[in-house]
Amino acid sequence: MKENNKLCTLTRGIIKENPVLVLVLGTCPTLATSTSVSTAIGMGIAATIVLICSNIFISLLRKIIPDSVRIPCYIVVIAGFVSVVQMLVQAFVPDLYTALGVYLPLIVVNCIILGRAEMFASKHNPLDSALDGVGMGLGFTLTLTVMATIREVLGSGSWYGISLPFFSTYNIPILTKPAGGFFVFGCMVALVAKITHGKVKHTATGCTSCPNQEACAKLAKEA
Amino acid sequence: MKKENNSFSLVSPIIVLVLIGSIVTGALALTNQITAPVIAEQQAKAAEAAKQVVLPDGVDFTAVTGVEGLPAEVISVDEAGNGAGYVITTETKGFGGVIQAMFGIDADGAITGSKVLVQAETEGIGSKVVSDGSSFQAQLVGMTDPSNIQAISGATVSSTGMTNAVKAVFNAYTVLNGGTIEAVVYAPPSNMTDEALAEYYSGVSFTDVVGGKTSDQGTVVYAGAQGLQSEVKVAVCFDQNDKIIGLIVDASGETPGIGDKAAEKAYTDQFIGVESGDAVDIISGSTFSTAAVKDAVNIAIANLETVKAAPETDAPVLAPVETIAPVEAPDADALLEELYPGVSFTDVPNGKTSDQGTVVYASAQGFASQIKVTVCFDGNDKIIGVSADASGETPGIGTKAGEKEFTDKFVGVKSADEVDAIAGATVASAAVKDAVNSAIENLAAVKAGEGLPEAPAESEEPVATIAPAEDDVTITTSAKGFAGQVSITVTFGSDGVIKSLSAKAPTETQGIGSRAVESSYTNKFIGAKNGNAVDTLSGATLTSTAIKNAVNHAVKAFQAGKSGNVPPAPEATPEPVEPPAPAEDDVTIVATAQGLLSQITANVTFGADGAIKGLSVDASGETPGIGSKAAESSYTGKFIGSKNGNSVDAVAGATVTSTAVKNAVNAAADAFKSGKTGPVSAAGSAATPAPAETPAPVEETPAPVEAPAEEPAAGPKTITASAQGLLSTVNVTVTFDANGVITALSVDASGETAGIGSQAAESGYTGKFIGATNGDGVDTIAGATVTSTAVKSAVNSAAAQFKSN
Repeated sequence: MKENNKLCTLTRGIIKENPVLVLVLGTCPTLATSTSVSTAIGMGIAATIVLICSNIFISLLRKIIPDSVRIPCYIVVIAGFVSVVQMLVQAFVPDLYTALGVYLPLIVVNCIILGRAEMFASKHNPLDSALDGVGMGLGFTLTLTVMATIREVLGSGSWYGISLPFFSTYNIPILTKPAGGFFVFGCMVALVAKITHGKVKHTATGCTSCPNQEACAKLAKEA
Repeated sequence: MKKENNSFSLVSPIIVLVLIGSIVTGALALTNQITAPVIAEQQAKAAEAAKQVVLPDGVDFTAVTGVEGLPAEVISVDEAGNGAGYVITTETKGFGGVIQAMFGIDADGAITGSKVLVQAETEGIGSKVVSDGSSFQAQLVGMTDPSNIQAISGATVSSTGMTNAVKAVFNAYTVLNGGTIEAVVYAPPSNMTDEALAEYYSGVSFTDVVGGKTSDQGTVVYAGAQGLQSEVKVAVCFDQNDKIIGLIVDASGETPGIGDKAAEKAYTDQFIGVESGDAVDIISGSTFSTAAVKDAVNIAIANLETVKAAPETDAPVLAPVETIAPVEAPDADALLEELYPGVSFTDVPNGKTSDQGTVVYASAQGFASQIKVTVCFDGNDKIIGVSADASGETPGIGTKAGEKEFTDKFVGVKSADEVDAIAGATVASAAVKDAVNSAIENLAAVKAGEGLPEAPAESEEPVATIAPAEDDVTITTSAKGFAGQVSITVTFGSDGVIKSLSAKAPTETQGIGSRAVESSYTNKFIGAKNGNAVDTLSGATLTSTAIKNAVNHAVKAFQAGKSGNVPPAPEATPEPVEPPAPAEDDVTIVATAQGLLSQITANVTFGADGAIKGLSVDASGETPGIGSKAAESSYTGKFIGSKNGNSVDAVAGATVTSTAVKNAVNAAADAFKSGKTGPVSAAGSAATPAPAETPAPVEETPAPVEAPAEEPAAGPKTITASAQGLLSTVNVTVTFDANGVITALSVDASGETAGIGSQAAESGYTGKFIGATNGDGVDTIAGATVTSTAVKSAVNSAAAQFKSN
């Protein structure tokens, strides 16, 4: 039961509560960095690291942080981690730093991180929060990678910068533009909505102990 | 307890926030300490690597500071520690904004590489110039002077920006090696005449100096800056206190109506009294041209002292422009000296004449500017030389059209068409060809010293300007067009052939009927003997028909020996103007038939054998431009030679009207056979309306068609009726009870537009009629007015039948 709970915490970020496609958080960095697979993965990993760290930290501090100033506290913590990650990336992976550009510091205002801090980490123990961070981060990274794969392969005719034979001749450049990003985004939201709609019904009983059951059900209903 | 809790909850947020803030700050400081040296090293390496991109041999770059006299475009200079050369960073203006670029120049002054650092040029156009490895930048490598830079066609502004940067790099190199840069001397704007100056300085006599004019009353400083298409030249007038009192701007190379606003007084006067060009705003929409004026004003302000102290020039840099000749005399004195040694010329409008030959000036619009051409003919009217001034064209591309290599190809030709255009400089070289052709055409006029009433190079159709020969007859007349009279002026040669035609149709629809008066249409008449040979202009049928009619009318007048103004062609007899007098045994029968909107009248002339010899139709009540086609000679002519109307097809789109014509012709043919000559009417004058006919005006209620008669009976009764909808006949089946109240209604509108007209057949609409005694109480459907009106009239006609029974 308990193991199941942990697993639920870890995996639900991937599809069922996918931060980008189901919770519709972090759309801006998603659209901006999903033009190529390399930036998408970089962004996903950077955001995941910040997410895990801030989740653990906020979970540890959840009893100390007074309700009235919790948002400023979260922001300071998140901003601190982002700055640390930024400096580390700049120093040791300068190419990724250039590629991520302005989106790296913008992780501070990535609503996935603040959203999970507010929705999850502030109510759960550090282990659960870390797992949630891993799950959500994984979901974010996977979504970005899939989206970037679609956009880069069809839009630029390459994958991870490697030119693909057929696609480089017949590409759809609009997919690399914001409009194409929204299009792919919309298609993926629709697809995931379709998938989760069936799944949630099926596994409803298995998730009774899941703390997010209520939210899950509500989301499934809305979807 | 509660109180303590309260004070704690007040203080704790502050403490916690401060604590968290301090801890995070501490963590950041720590990280920074670890990463800062790594980052600094990275950046230094990156900067060095970037410099090595443009100067591969350079190492240990150090910034050069404190050098005086570097060009303004240069923002930084780095010297390689091993003496390999310099890396010079420049900032120049491109199309989308500032282009910041880095150039490497080796110790011998040759460019080793370039890289654009900051740019906002148009993707796909300007990017041809600024992207790494572009052909523009590839050509720079190894270059030692900027004169050979080839601009990228289509990306002129971006190319100019980069070229200026390269020039600055070479200048900077000169300065860095202890040399000095030659100051740029600007030429005065071509529209700076003595009169223009007199507006700002009255009675002042100027001394021409390098780059301007000086006097005790003030100074005029010339300057220029790159606009969108050309260099905008400016003469800035300063008073003796060095205040700006006026501007003379030549932006004639800029886009007419847009960029040339920068030269208008409304704009230039804004500069009066300013200390810097930056004090005046640009004009939205002509950003480049007005920004060029501002830049030029700044240059002039900067150069004012230099000009004041500048040495006197022997001759004015540019003579005041000759304004009498429509085509400006290009500066071709050198060529004339060479071709006509020792010949003295007489200046005539558009050229020069002498006993040794003739010089004709012409011009044509090139790509960026008006190209002025001087064509030299010898005594036998052969071309012995051409000079073209294409200096306003794209440097390195369009300017080729002005080079001797190209212009020499014209020597000896009879027409410029024999010379091929220059690939890559098509527009500019085609302009030179056009100008040469117009010079050839104008040769006779120039020789006669007449000049020309209009600038020939700009007139599209030189034919129209040819002076009429002695025995030509010009006739002016008019005919009814679509909205009013269309007047024409026709010139006939002595043989009756139309030599020129111009038409005026001020009342016709702009953009539609007006097309028929354009030379592209009227020129089709040239060479013909009447208007019949020319087709009407699709879309402008009535107006072009009017021109044809008027031409025919003029032909008649010409044949009658008239000239000058002739009364308008009679209306309503579109073709022919005056029917040929019928032969003795010809019979003309007037027949009528119902068209779509009106009765059409056909005048049918039969020969003795019963064959139709002539047909004129009055369909003036039909839809102009559609039904009216059935009255045009192109259609009525098809009947000539046949014995009835059956062999002729209806006009697509004007089925009802043309069917009416056919019916009328048939009625006339029947009458002819039966020996009648008076007016007849087509049997069953309501011609069957065919689908796909033009809709009748919405307001007009279509006439109900007779409903099939039914046996009269008391009590409930079902009556069918029909009426004309938009595309088809709408059939209704109405069931009345004994009191005449509608109890059921079904509508067949299947021939109407699906989704629009078909709405009128839906029960949602037909249900509204239930309980009524006729169709008047029900509103039409917005958007399906014609069809629903048809339903209403059909219902009314059914109700009328019910009552009559």
